[in-house]
Amino acid sequence: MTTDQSEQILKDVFAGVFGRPIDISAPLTREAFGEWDSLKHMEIMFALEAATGREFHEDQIAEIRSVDDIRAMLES
Amino acid sequence: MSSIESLGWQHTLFKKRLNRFELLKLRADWPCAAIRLRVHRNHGVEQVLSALPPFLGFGGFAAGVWTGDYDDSLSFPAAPADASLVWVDFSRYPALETADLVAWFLGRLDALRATDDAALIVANDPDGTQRAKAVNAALDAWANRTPRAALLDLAGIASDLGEGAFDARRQKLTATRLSDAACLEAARALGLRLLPDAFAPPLKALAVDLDNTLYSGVLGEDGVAGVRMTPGHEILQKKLVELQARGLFIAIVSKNEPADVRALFAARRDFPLRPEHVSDWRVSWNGKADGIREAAAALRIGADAFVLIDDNLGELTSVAAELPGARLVYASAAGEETAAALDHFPGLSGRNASRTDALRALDLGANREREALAAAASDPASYLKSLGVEIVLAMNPAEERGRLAEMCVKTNQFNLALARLNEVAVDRYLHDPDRRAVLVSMKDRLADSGAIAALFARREGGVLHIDELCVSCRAMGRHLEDIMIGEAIRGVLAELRAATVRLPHAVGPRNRPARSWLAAFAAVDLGDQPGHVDLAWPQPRLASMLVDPPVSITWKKP
Repeated sequence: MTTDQSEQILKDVFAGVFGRPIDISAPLTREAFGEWDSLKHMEIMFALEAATGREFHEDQIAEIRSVDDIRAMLES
Repeated sequence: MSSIESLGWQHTLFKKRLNRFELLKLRADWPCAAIRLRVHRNHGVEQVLSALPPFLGFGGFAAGVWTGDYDDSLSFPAAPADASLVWVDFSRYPALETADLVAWFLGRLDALRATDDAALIVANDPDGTQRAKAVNAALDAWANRTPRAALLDLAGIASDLGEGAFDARRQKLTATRLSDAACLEAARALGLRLLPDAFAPPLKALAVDLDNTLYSGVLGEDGVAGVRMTPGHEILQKKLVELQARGLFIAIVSKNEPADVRALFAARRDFPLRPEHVSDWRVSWNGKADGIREAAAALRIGADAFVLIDDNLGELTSVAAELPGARLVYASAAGEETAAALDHFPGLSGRNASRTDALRALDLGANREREALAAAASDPASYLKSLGVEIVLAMNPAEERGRLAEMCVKTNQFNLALARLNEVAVDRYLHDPDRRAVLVSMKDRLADSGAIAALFARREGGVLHIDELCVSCRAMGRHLEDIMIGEAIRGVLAELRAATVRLPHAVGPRNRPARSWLAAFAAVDLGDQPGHVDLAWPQPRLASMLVDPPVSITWKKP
């Protein structure tokens, strides 16, 4: 998957989960973005799995604290 | 709802294995009717609710959701709602014996049912254990006897998904044992079937194209022998036959030469769909919207009760423009995909055939012969005697609660009060000592029409209020309204004595036939406003008719 493809997936996932376009170009963390609670987090993870055809380990999921962490996970 | 835009959603919503990422991208930007959904739960439901919007949006609905706390005791805190979902993980009650669990759970459900009229949806037990089967059997029986109750069949979903129905590894993160795949299927069942079934009238007819829809190929180019019955199209045709058996009309709406189509069905014995399954043929070079309007008139239903199945996006667009609100299914080259769409399409998927549903097509065919007899008869009485009409009335038939409610919801033309009584409201008439519900069935020597009229009455202060009166459009025009309605009221008055019968009348977009009947029956001018008519009883004009009726009248024993 190219960087552009993964960025588009991230944009689509965040827009879909939160119901509006979300600027993921700026640093975005769970602490700073109050709507990104544990339930939304699982929704994001499931959508990413569906988009990429990958399955993430529960430990990976629990460790994600930011969009940058997701990027790193997708690239790994 | 924008039918054309929603066509693009079909592939995503109806595919065999749902994909959350694809679903996330679907947002309805057309007006949707709001449903207040109240969820009572003891485990995670958010994965279901987050996937619900596109399924509901496809059918023109949007849910505002109130979700309760995790509550094993099912205390059911009050919250206004149009629909309630009970979402319980039964494995959280290991200390209860099965019989005790069933008794307690059904008791809680009955308590919830008693609080309001909301549609009540209960998720059953997805485990394949003996205990789960016992719980689910009890739930089936409970749902069958409880008004406005339905089951979300997690057991069926788990059976389809096998091991993929559960995800114990992620339970700590999701608060449910169910997998994301199971949650998506639950959302599909809720959004495409259970909630639309509770809030929208069921569809009544399928308008089916021929070329590249019912088979592969073009009749005018490939000829009778050249069009191909592929395995996928065979599945589709069998699906249509199944839906017809469940009471839906099938109308062929095709741009072809009528003689070619007749030759096709005569020659192609490999077609599961046979002419006897088709209630109306609109084969011409006219526009398909006209074909649907003509079929609707012939079948005595509204054009909005149809779904058009067609492979041609131009035709679908044209019908959407001419018939706003038209329901459309894009027929793919793979007939099996079209059949899957019909499995899930709102208003089609929940139908369970009643006896009257099964009789509907035959009865309609008989109507043409009845009309010919009526034209030839010298007067209505001799017409009725020539038909050998038998009217059977049933007082408070509890086993017909669903049919009674269905008549209130589906009948538009001969519907006097437009009360739209749901099953919970109908249940009150069946059990309240000062209320009655009468179901009228009819048959003659040409066909059995099944249940064709319903009357709901309530005695209050010496007046018998006819809270609702519906007559199926199939039964209209047979000069039987006075007799059957008069006999129904007479039967109710024999049990609930009153000197005055009050018939309220509403003004709706299509209920002129009911209002016209009342105006003639009561010999009054109703005006153009809602109101009511008070009649002293017995009505002199009815007395002689009921003493020596031109039809056989029987009251069914309870």
